[in-house]
Amino acid sequence: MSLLTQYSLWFLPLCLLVGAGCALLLYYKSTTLDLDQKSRIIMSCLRGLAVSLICFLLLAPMLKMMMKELDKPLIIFAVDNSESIVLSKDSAYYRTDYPQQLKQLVNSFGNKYDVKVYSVGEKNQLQENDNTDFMDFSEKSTDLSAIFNDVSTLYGNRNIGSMILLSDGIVNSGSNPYYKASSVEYPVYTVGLGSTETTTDLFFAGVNHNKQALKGNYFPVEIKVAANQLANNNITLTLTEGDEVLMSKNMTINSRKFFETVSANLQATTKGLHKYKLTLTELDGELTYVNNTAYFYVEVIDSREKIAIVYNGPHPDVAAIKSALESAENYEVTVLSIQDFRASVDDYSLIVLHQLPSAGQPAANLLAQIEKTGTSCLFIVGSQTNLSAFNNLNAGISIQQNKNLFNSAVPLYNENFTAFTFSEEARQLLPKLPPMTTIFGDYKSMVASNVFLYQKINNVNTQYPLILFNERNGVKTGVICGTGIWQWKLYNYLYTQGHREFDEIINKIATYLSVKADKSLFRVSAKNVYEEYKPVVITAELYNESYELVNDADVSIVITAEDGKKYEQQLSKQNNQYVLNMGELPVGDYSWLCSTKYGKNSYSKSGRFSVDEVLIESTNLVADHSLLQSIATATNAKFFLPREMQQIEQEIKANDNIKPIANYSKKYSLLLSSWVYFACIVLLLAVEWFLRKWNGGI
Amino acid sequence: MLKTKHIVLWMMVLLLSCGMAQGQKIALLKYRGGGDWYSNPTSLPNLIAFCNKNLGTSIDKDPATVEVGSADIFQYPFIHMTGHGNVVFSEDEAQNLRAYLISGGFLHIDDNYGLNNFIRTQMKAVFPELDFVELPYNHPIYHQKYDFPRGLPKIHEHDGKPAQGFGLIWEGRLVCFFSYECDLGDGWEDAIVHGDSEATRTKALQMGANIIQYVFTR
Repeated sequence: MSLLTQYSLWFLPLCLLVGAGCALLLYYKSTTLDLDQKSRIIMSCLRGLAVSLICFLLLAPMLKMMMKELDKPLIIFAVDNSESIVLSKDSAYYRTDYPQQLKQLVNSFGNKYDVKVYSVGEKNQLQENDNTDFMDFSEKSTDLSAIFNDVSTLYGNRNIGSMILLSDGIVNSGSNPYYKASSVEYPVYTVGLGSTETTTDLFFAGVNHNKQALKGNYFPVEIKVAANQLANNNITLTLTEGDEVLMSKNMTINSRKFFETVSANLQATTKGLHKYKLTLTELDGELTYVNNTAYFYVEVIDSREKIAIVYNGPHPDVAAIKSALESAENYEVTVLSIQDFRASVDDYSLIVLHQLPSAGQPAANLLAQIEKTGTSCLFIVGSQTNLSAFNNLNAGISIQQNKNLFNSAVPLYNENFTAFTFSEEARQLLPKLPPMTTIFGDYKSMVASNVFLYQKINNVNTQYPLILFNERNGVKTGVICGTGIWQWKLYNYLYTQGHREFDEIINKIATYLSVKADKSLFRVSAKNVYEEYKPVVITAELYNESYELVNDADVSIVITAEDGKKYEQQLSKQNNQYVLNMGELPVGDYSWLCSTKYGKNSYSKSGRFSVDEVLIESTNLVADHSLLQSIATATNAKFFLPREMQQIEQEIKANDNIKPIANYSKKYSLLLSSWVYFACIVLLLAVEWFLRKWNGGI
Repeated sequence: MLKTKHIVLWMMVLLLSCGMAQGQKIALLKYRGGGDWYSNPTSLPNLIAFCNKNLGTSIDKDPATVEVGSADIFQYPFIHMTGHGNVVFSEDEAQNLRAYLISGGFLHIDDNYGLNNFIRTQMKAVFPELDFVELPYNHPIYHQKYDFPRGLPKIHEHDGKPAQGFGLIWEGRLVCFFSYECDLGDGWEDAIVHGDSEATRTKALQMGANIIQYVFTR
């Protein structure tokens, strides 16, 4: 702490001198007061000090202080809250004693540490330190890698002391946590929950099947049956739909660790959603019977929409778009070189043209057919596209290239885009995607065109479209003004360990372009299958006669469960739409009837959906402590069993690397801004005045 | 005035950012361990020229070189690897290559004679759960623009063994193609290097073009 003024410090004695001078003049020079020696000294001191202080404050002095801020070490508890923990032998312990022991450990750190408790499972969630109520072991899947990402995003600039990871090590989603953990700089103490002993159990280890099948066709189902420590038992696997037994297979468990894949070929007979049930014999001594039953759903459809991708030359964009379209199983995708295109355009609900028309391939025949039949198209414009031929197609944009040059453009979402909605995850991913190669030149888009993404070039937001849509005479056309979208797929995986967002964007584009306009005035969208523990959301739209969205009228829905239980609700109005969030519904089949009255007209729509059981946590019940041990070793920490977990406190307190970090910062404060000095001056003068009065002065 | 300045600034920004190569780049894998990752220097440029001429691709005529552990690996839709000797992937490199291949990338390993044992062990580190499987003759990779009814053509004789094409298949998708006892890369090189006949060289280039076409359009 030190004192600064903008004047020389030699002014300080001068201040004292002025104070002393005033005091002397008043109390020793003038003789109007009759005072004893003692009062005179006291009062002159008071006056002297007050005047000195005022003079001193006139110098506008500042205090320089070094502020020490302690960044307490963060201790992050990552508490696995997944189902697999209580499906183990010691479930009673995990429901009663374990939460109390954890609470004791959390509290033992006291206020020298900054303790945060996260529950881990499908998602990570910050919990209150004192409350163990969240530990209901209800998470339907386990991703242990995400917590490392979250911690580095949220606390990257903090003093992370340590993470304490309490889990059974059974991971069934996300990436391998070991690789995440080995790159962090803080120790990760691990507590191994669950049981590593192989449990006596017969269970479904998984069911592979298509989500959709074509009516009349056969579709394959692969059923994985596993059993531990149940050798020499005879079991029966049954596959039923409703009351009808479709397959029954007897097997003998021939080893202590039994695994068998059973294939079945089912016929898709009637259109609609089909629910199939799988059951295994319940044997004595099994840990749980929960995983002896499994359900799966297959939607049987009349026909699948066809999409053709026609290219000028092979390009990685083609493979990436094809894989995205095929992921949803909604489309039958054909990939063809323009030289090989012979089919009729009528067969396809969407045609993707990659860098066509080009200089070598005018594609005149195909383009004429498209024009004639009014088929939806998606153009991908690149260096091979013949721009003047493309501009003549009135696809919604015309592009004039400048000097055969190209730009590198990243996507920029158009906030005013309304043609379709997409998930928050996809929206978050957009700005992180790598650039596409676009044409450098003039872009003129038609007034009616609807821009989905703009080009952001060298960090400059431009008005050049990257992806846009156009509707002319009821025919929808899309244009991707660049090549290299294939890289989005790779980066999607880098950021999220999956391709869900890329697939979603491509499929939304394809659906928007291929769906013939729905002319009905009341439209309801509900999924066929909702996952257990995910909210059931149904949306509706109501149009007036001039096809403008309205929501003046009330829309109600009745959802009926299998057992006849009815849920009656009003849809709430959001923006121009109607939304119903039913929350979680129990597993089962439901039918719904949605109706409204607008003006003189009544409308209603009906449908069915199922809430599907999520089995993933019960398929593997053997804890993986070796994973937790290697995480601890890789981060220079230790592994503990639940009953030893209180020792972690000692370990952390003894670890010299986990200490508060002191951050120093300079702080200047003007003394004038503090009221203390004024209070001093007032006090000094007030006392002096009082003494003068006391002694009979004025 | 302000508006003119704005426009000029704009043009500068755009001019500075453009002019980049518009073609698609493919890359040669540079690995550690002592093997000659740089052998057959003219092979990839020749294959690219062949594809651009006959398939209508627009691949940049100069292939890039990319290290196994580099983040740049995600810039290339197709990576070629060759050599005669030892290959070593570190744990980070194996993870990087794994992420690249699962994310949507593709690796073509061409056994230039002597790579077989080394690369099998190293690819096991990348995909412990996968084994190389021999691709049947009816696999689409042999039936793109050019038809190879008997699978991989034999380009260069070493041990008198048949040429075989192996693949690593991740969730139904071929992520790595391994041409064994075939030496495609020799056939792609300039005629003067190995003295392969014109017919053999054409076969090699056609098979190479098939791999590119398959990877780009499957």
